[in-house]
Parts: sequence; C-alpha cells; structure tokens
Amino acid sequence: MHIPDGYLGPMTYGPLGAAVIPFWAAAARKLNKTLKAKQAPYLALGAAFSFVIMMFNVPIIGGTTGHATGATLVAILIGPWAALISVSVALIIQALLFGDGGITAIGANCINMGVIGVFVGYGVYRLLAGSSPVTSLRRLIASAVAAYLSLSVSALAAGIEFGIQPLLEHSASGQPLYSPFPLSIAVPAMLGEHMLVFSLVEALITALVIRYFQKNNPELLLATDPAGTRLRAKEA
Amino acid sequence: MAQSRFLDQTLLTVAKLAEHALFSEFYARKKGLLQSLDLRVKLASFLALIVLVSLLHSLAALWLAYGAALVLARLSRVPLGFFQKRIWLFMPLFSAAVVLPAIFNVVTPGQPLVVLARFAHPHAWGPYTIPAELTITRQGLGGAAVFVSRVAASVAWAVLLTVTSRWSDIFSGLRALRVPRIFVVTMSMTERYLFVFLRLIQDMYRARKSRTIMPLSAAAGRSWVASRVGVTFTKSMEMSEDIYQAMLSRGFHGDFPTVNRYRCTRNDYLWLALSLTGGIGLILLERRFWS
Repeated sequence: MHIPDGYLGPMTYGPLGAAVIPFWAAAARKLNKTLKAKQAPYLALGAAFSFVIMMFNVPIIGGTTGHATGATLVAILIGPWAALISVSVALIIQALLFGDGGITAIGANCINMGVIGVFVGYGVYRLLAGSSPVTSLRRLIASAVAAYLSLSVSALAAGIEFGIQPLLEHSASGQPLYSPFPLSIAVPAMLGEHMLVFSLVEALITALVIRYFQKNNPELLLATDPAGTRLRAKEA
Repeated sequence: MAQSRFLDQTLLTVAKLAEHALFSEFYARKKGLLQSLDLRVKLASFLALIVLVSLLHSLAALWLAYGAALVLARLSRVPLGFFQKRIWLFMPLFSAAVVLPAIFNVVTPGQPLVVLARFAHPHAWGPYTIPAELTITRQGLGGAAVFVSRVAASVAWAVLLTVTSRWSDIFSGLRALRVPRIFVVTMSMTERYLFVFLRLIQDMYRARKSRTIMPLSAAAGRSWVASRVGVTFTKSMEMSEDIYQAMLSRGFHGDFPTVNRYRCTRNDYLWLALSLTGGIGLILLERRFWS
C-alpha cells in the first residue's frame, strides 16, 4: 500500500501533496483546542503505535502470517483527527528514515491511508456502532466492517492513482513514463488483492484487538466516542 | 513449529528495523562530503534533487542520476556494496517483477519487437482484449525500463540522504525549513519512542517464544497477538501521560525551543549551486538530446 518514488508522476503527486495540507491544518487546529500542550507526547506515542502495529505478525492459515495497517484501529482508539496526524507522522518517518514509501509520494500515501483510511474507517464504525453498549457484538462487527472497507477504499484510491498514470504521463510514442498499467488493470488488481486477502486480515486483527479492549479495558473504547462522552456526563 | 512461525517472523521484523537504524547512524557519523553539509542545505537540496529525478524521462539521464548518487556515496565514505544492496533490496527488484506484464501488447500496445504467440483471432472479455498476436512492444519494454530505472534512481537518492544524515538532524532540518514545530516535535518524539516500543515488542515475543514448547493453534496465536497490540496501546497512552508530566516538571509551557545553530559555509553554498545546476542541467540536456 505504501506507494514508492517513481510510481506516480508530478501531475499526480503534486496535487495530492497539496490536497493533504488542509487536512493536516484542520487536524492541528482541532487538536490544539482539545489536547493543548499535551498534544506532542500524545500524538507522538500514537504515531509510534501506528508504526509498530505493522510489526505484529498474526498467524492466518496454513502457517502464513499477516499484519494490519491499523488506520481504523488507531482512529477508533484515539479519534480521527489525532489518528490522521499519527498515521501521517508514521508514514513520513517511514518514507524519510526507512525508505518505506516514496518521498515524492508522501502526500499520496497520507491521503490514501491517513485521510481516506482513517475517516472511512472511523465513519463506518460510528455509523454501524451507533450508541450500542461498548461491549456489544454490534461494535465488534462494526469495527471489522469498518477496517475492511477502510483498507479496501484506500486500495481503490491507490489503484486509481496508478491507473491514471498512462493517461496523464506518456511520451509522444505512447510509452508510459510512470506506473504503466491502465485503470482497467490497476483498479481491479489493487481492489482484488485487498478485498480478497489484505482487507480481511485487517478486519480480523482490528476486531480481535477491539474484543481485547471490550473484555479488559472497555472504558478506553469510549474515550473518543461521542456516545461515551454523553454516558459519562449522565453518570456524573 | 510452523504454528509458532509468527513469533519468529515478528522478532525478525523488529531485528531488521533495528539493524537498519544502527547502520544508518553508523555511516552518518563518518566524516565525509555529505555529512559535513549544513543540514538545511542538505535537506532542501536532496528534496529538490529527488523531485528532479522524478521529472527525468530517458534511461540515459536516469542512470546518470544513479551514477552521481554512487559517486557521492563514495565521497561520503559509504561502502558501495552496502549502498547498492540497500537500494536494490527490495523496491527496484519488486518493481521489476510488478512491471513485467506491461512489456506485452496486452497492456501496452505499440510497435512489436518479438512475437511470442499467434492465435486464430483476438479474444475479448469486457474491457480486456488479447490480440491475435501476443508481442513484446517497444513502448512496453521502454516504459518498463524507464519505470524500474526511475525507481532505482529515486531510491538511490533517498537512501543517500538517510545513510549520511543523523535522524535527529533530519528533524532539525525540517524545522529550519519552516515545517510547523508541532509536526517536527511529534516526529522527533515518535522516532525516540519507536525504539522503546520495538524493545517492548521484542521482550514480549521473546518471553512468549521461550515459554512455547507445544505448537500454538492459529486461533490461540491470534488472540495472543491481539492482546499484545492492546497492551502496547495501553502502555503508549500511559507513557504519553508520564512524558507530559516529565515535560511539565522540567518547565515545559507549550513552546519547543531548538538548540541547533545553523551556519552555512562556502562549501554549503558551493554544494547547493552545483547540485541544483547539475540537476536542472541534466533535465535540459535530456530534453535537448535524449527525448
């Protein structure tokens, strides 16, 4: 999912890099109000968690292992705006220090996994979970569906970005200059592999972690939940 | 013990990340050409050069850019074997495998170079068509070669930046380039606590591995991993509160002053002029002679 340097041309990575800035600015404004001076350590630890979540290999089937990208999980646990900054910081560190994802593609990766991944995941989770009890099966299913859709829509976005390259950037003789696959190949390839494998793994891991919190620390799941805030206000 | 493979897999991933970090810092501390540059100049020039590489269209120009990165690595006392290994494993080789189908006329129509198969008639399934002749096309092969070369050249410049810069310097450089302070401070703290988390994961997985004498069922393994993700998150939130309290106790009041003092020397200005002239010159040369 991390798009490397060289896959997208300047006509794609330029606008996507510009498009992510208003989201970061909105998140910074929002968090400045809610977290104030606390935001640096909170976001940094959130970003470190977003980074290391990909290290946890989970047994799948037949001895194979997989890992989650964690955008939906982080959004459920720390809220969408903090998750957007945390996932973006993790992606920038991966690109700048570890060469995982391109430097020119930072904007595209942050749009796909930070903005789309986080907000689709959080939006679907909130929609499906509603005001159901925090330990309910409905919330568990909501988290799995949200994670599945979040990663699949992120993959669709990446597929479209790859697929428009031959249209936007080619030589006079028709030779593609960046990712050479047209939309009719790039979109089904990206969507297919994610919907059939990676999004299922993402849904499984997200639901398992949510189940862990439901059993051991349900209060944590209410921390960024408007329903939870109302519940605590009522109790007080 | 196939059912416990995920334990080894995770330990290996963590170890590789730590090794990556260790070797990067090792060469960044050497006294070489790029290590001696002012970090603002270095970061700005490298970001510009990486963008310039993305604008190149011809094989000759891309390989010249790759060669220039090798020369600079040598002048910065980075061993070429280590440098090339880090470039080629894994992204350019992966990209070469990914782009392989694009050399055929099924994906990239154009002037045929080699005819691989002939069918009685073309086959069409919706938007997909297999033509009567399956060929490798000049445009397909050329596009694939440019694509892999661009990935290799871009990765070479990105790796050159990371192996010749201390990570803390990259963050300071970003701050000096007017990236908002909250982002830079968050990145810098993330980098520091990332290694605390890696150590935590390593300890948890080692402890589990040392206690595992029977193969774990996949379901038990998954539940255990989910609980470790949960524990890591809970610890991260506790730690963020502790760090905030520690910051307050040291007089933190919401501002992040930096201690770096930057000073550009004649060499920095020379590097900036040469690198940008070289990069722009290469593009002009390419547009004039190779396209």
